Amino acid sequence: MPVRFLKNTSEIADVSVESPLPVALTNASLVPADTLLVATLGVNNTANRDLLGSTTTEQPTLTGCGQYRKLIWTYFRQGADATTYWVYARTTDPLSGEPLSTGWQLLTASAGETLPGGANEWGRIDIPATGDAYYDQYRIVVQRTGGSANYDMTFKIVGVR
Amino acid sequence: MRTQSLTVYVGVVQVDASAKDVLNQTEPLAPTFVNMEAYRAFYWTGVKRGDAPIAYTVRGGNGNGWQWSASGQITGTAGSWFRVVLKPPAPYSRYRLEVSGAPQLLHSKLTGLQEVEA
Amino acid sequence: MSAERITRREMLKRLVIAPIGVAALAALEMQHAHAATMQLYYEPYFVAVLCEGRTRCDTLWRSMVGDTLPLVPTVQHTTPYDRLWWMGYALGSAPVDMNVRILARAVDRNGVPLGPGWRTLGQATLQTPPLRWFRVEIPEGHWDEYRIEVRSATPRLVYSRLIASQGYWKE
Repeated sequence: MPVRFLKNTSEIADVSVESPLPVALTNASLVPADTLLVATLGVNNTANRDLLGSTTTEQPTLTGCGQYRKLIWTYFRQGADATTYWVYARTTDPLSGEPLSTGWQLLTASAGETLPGGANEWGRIDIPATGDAYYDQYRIVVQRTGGSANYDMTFKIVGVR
Repeated sequence: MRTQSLTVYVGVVQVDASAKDVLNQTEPLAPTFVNMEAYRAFYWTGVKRGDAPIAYTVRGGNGNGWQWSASGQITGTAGSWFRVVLKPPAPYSRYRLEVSGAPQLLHSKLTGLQEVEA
Repeated sequence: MSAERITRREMLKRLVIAPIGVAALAALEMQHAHAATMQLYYEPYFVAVLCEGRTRCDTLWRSMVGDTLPLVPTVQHTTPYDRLWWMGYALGSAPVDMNVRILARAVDRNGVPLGPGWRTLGQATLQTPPLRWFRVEIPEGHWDEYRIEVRSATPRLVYSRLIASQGYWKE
């Protein structure tokens, strides 16, 4: 006598390899998300300046990120002037930790993306916006591209598996 | 279950007109990677050292031969980064990562995604 | 394992059926109420009940556990979760329109919010008949704290539960 269950609300199915009995795992454990960076950046109109204030093109903002499927970038911005961001990524040699080459792969549009939100508003950006990450290094560049008022942005980047 | 990313391959291969895999094997049946059943996705990233596009073919299968393949081109100027995402329809035990094109070096890394007990 | 021989009719009687009201929420992905429907490419492997409570829903914005303190989160330490679901039902004998608001924010390493206020993930009106379940899917996970708020012109006791999951993706 096969074990049967109600499948898709209208079909009674025999338990089989193709139709496994739906059960909840009782021995699974929660995999933590990792806080990678929390800081405040004074956003200004300097080009090629990353979230840590560095204008050195080869300097990554984050490294050791190969295990993360997504990076979640949340922020609270205090100003409303138009701001653009770019996200660069690359992989490294696992033995030396050095990037395979100089330069970066750009994950956003070449002209950059508009940083959402206005003055005193929260925002969130998933990196990458679609698909999976699994890059080893990231460089996140932010630049005020409109108006004239610099402002502070407090942000946090979390890596999720 | 949860996912875990692992480095499967890092290396440099001299690309030329004849198809070869990233380990320089020209025999079409020779696998580049074996014992790969645990992986469900791959992320192939790297840098091409020439301007000409590089054609790639990825094959998946087992001891009975190749059962799946995916092809494409890696484009970009010399020194540009690329990434190819590979999500095979089944957990194959063997893969062959083949490239061909105008002579140039290809420095790349293959990251595989495994499912492990949480 | 031994199998019990029952008729299809008997099997259907034994299942817990949850008729669920449906609402389209602005800025939130709405799932047609179906107790077992999941998007095929996402499989949860860890599910937790984060909060369960009741509130007397009135004209004030109250959290799902009844407080009117806008700075207080309903749940904290929710960063690892991909998705959240908020489900419940309202008591009473007549249909009720209930305004709902899903708020979220991030905190620094000391647990202090990065800034004042909240990010509004979605806000809308649920039209729920009495003793009918509602369910709201909150697809924007990985925030550190959430606040679930309700209010209604017609006072109503609302019981609800917040569930979160962590899963993996088979795109």
